[in-house]
Amino acid sequence: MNSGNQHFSNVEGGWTIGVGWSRKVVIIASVLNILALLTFILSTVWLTPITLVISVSIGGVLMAVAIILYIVVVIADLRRRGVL
Amino acid sequence: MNPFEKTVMAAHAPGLSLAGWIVLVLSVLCILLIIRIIVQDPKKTARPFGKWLLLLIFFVLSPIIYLLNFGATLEESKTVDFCNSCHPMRGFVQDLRNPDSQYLASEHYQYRWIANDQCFTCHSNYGLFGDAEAKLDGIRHVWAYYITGYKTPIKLYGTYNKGICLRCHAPTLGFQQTEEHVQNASEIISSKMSCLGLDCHVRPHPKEAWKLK
Repeated sequence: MNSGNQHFSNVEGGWTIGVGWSRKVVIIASVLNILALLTFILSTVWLTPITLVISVSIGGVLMAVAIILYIVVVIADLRRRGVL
Repeated sequence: MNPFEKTVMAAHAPGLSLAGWIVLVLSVLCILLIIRIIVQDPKKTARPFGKWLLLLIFFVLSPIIYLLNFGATLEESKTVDFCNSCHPMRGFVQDLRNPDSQYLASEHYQYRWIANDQCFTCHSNYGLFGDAEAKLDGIRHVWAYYITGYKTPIKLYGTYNKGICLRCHAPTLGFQQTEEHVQNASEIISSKMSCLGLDCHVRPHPKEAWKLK
């Protein structure tokens, strides 16, 4: 069964993310990770209560979301290759 | 400035700590690598090298940077300068650093009865969660400062825990041999009796400290 577009395809009975879509997800994850790293730099260079809170909370959340997105891409890639 | 003071200042010179430098260098390196992989050479994301490099950045380097930054900034946030970076605290720190001040906090600072991080030392409870509670209070301060607003005169959220004073003073002979301390031991320990006022000890900060700019 095929979804009819490039974003989704069926591998061994399970749905997985297409190549074009996974690249977009990697870019989104990368941008989020860069933003997270920028918040860390900000609090390191200019430490105030607000930059501390931003780096620890918002930076942490951005980094966590980036990691989750990359995990999704890795799993999708492995499924596409039939490893999972 | 005497030579001793210069030595102390050199030891506590403002600037980045080693952890801070590591965070800075690793963060810039990661950002440049990500940009290089994603923007300048998009095909690399489809190649094993690019995938492994991103995997290393996302799963190893970024969490390490986060944890290092978390530790370094939390440690740095204990300093008097950090407290002073918030506008409502300026008056308190100004008095703290005033050599002519007779207030309790200032004397602790001037005579270095507390060596470093004087604000944090007196405003964090002892025990396993003492530091964490102080940091949560700090978040409440930030919330009040930026969102809900704060009331003046600035006051503590609750009653000051005398255990914080006793943490340093209780084991000393001078404290133990003072008659008033012995007579009122249970009240002092339970924080029912204040150390301040009467003929005991002066206030820690001037009453109008919040007004000072």
